Amino acid sequence: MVHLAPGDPFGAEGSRLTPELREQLRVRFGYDRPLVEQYGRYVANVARGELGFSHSLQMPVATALATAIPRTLLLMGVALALSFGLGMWLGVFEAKRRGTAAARATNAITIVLYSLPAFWLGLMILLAFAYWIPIFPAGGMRDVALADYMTPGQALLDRVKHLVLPVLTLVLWTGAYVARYQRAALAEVLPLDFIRTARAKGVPAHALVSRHALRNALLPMITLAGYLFPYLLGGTVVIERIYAWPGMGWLVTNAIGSRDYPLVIAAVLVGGIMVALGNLLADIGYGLADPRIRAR
Amino acid sequence: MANALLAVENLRTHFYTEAGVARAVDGVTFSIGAGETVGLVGESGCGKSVTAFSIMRLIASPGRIEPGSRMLFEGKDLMTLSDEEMRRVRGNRIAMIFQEPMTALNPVFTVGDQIAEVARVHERASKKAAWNRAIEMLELVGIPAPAERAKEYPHQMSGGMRQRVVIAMALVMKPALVIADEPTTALDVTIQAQILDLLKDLQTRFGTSILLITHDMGVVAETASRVMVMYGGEIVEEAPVSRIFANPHHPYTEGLLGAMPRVGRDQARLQTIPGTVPAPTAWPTGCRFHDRCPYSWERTAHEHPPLYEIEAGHFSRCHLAQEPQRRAQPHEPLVVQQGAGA
Amino acid sequence: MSLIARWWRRLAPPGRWATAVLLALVALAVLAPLIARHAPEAQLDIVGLKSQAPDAAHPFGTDRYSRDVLSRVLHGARVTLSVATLAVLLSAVVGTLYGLAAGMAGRAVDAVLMRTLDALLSIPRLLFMIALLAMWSPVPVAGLVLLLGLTGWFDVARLVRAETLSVRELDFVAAARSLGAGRLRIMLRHVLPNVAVPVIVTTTLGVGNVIALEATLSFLGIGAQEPNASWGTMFHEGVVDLSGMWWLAFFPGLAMVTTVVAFNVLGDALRGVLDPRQLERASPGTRSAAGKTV
Repeated sequence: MVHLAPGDPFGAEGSRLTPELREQLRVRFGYDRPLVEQYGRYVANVARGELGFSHSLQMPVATALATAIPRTLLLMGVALALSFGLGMWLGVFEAKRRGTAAARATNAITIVLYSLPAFWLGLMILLAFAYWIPIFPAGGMRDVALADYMTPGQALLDRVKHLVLPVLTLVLWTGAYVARYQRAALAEVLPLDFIRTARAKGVPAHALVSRHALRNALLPMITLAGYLFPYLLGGTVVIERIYAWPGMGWLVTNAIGSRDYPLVIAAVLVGGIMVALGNLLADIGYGLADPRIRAR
Repeated sequence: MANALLAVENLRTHFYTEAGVARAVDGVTFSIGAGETVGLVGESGCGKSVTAFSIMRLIASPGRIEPGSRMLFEGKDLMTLSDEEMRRVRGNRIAMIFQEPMTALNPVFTVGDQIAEVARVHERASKKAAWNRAIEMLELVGIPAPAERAKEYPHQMSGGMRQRVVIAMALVMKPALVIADEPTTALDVTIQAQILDLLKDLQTRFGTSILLITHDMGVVAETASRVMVMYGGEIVEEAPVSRIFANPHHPYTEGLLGAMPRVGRDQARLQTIPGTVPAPTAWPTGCRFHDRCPYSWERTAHEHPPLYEIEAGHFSRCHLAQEPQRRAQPHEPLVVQQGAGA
Repeated sequence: MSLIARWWRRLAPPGRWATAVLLALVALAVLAPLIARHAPEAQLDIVGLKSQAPDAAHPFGTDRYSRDVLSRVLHGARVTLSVATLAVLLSAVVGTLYGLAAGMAGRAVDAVLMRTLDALLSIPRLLFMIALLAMWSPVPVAGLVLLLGLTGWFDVARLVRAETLSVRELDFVAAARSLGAGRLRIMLRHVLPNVAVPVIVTTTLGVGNVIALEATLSFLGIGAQEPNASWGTMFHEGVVDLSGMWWLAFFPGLAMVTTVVAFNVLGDALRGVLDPRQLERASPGTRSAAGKTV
């Protein structure tokens, strides 16, 4: 499918390869074979765990990805957890204070945050907190220069410091979406009959939201987690680029320039698998959380 | 009534909508004594449920209870209570039973939990104590194996069971007044009888007053000692149960009774009341029933009737009280003449 | 009263503001060639005028190639807006067709179609587009529109399918069929009006997403290319010296954020117009609109 795009990796403008060399490389990497055969070979290779060789990095794709993926997962994992935490809290906050100025303000803030492209938010935060007010490091995963001289404690702190800005960007970006979704979910639940029953029982207003409504509005949030995964992955890719975080996204965005197809394709494949796993987990979680399904 | 448990005076609840002001409840006055069961009857759209919600102050925007309405309960006007004070009344001194037991219960909590919650909220009972109360209540309402059933979820129970749970929830704090909004409408006929018996039984046991809201005169005959008939946002007839069945005065009440299938009565067809219930945004002028009434005459189109006392304890909002001879000249109601009736 | 007039009346104030902002933006975009003082790719004075901070002559400053940023932003609006609108329209059409097909088909075919949809949904859109565009570089604007449109139709398809399924069950469909009306015609006549409404909302909200997506791609260098620079493309160059020449990223960013926020606000407000249940309720718990039986 991907090979349908015109051109091949070695035809890029500005390539310093001579035509003969190009032809040799093409043959070596199999680009001269018919498309179908290329595709078939690729799938067979993947099944065997062979993801190809990255010519821009001069190492097997699998190796490159193996180091990069955990770093991406770290970033995504922390961001996912925090954005759900923040988002749900915000959503509940808005629902409880429906109609007040505070709710309207939060609503406006979440709309703006959720409308920002991740990269712009990342850029602005980078500008603000790494350049103008240099509190946090401007990129990378750790302070390479001093790495060898740090105690484990300092090293940990250093890691955390480098995590802060990218995570902050991701959390603000996805958290706003989660908050809006949670608010909408609560808005669906609050007019339902059993909330009225609870009110008639004398349940205090705040408990109506945080106990009765929320437990019902949690279920759509689990579905959201599954849906959010590809979204978050996309954002992480860009954020890694901006903050030079050496994960999958960093690899991919660099590979674009050098037309390192095997790497790009493999990364997309891995990304797809991650997302599918995430969805699966979300489905399982939903089944566990809803007593109506659990009972079966 | 001298020392009524609940005395509602001139209750008006209006909804301000795009389509106009809906005067769902428009000047309702009645009282309920201790230990009494009073029925509130009427078709859909007459304002009975809104009355119930108004007493509980569960009306939300765009509706509001109009100033000038008073609801005296246990010596205090419910309208003057703060939100927090009213919250302490709900579920505690006045409780409500709803029409649809399936949607009235929270699907993600066990029934035991939902019953226990009432005790936790009002008595600050510990989780354990509250849970035990829940089991007691389940037993009280006739659910077998209460300790096990308490751990079940609403969707695992039948309609009748769920309604019993709802009743259990209402009675945890032994309220002085229970408002039952169409408690049996969503249930099978056989279950209906069981639920009504349960209500009567509990009433005797605890001395609770019951405001029973329904569209079914038969249900009222079973359980209430006094009946109020509502139409057009007002009470149009009020009488002890025995009187209202033997001697209905208001033509609407007659219509409701005529529409009741009755064993032993030789009826070729059930009589229906022609026309439909008017919209609360536009109650008819004069007597609100006049366009569907077989006895109407000029006066009824212009002059809004007050509640006349027909006999002791029997009231009717109908000019026939003053001109009973008109009853001898029935005619096609106006809605039929104008082609709108059934 | 015409449909538009009725909708406008029911649109909450934020929605009205958003519409105004968007109309203004569209006007600016359309009139860009007339308003902009310079051509967007014109290098004015590579020695004297490059990398100028904003001033009276160049309110948005100039970039490294001495191009006037304001003119670029104005022209960028045309690219960004047209790409986004066209892509979103394409998505709407494809989604509707797919949804109709799935809804009208037999159980087995429907199941297959929906499973495929689910599978497609789990592909991370950005990564996928990166992969494709990396090959297809430089991509013509039409290609960009095509790719963006063909990856964003899933929600619309779901909506349309759901509506198609429910219309199918209605009695009058069977009645009409017995009268000889073709199935497709029935479905179209009844499904489309009902589904138009949520599709419009989804589409409006989708525009914001697509703008952000296109900007991201352009930022990475694989989206819109010169001379059709979109706002995102301007970032690609602007990031090079971010702390020094803040105006390169700030102004396109501002334009972009304003546009996307406006679309999202409008989409949100449209939801309120088209779904009266979102508005106030009669009393808690009752589903009926005020005035109906309680």
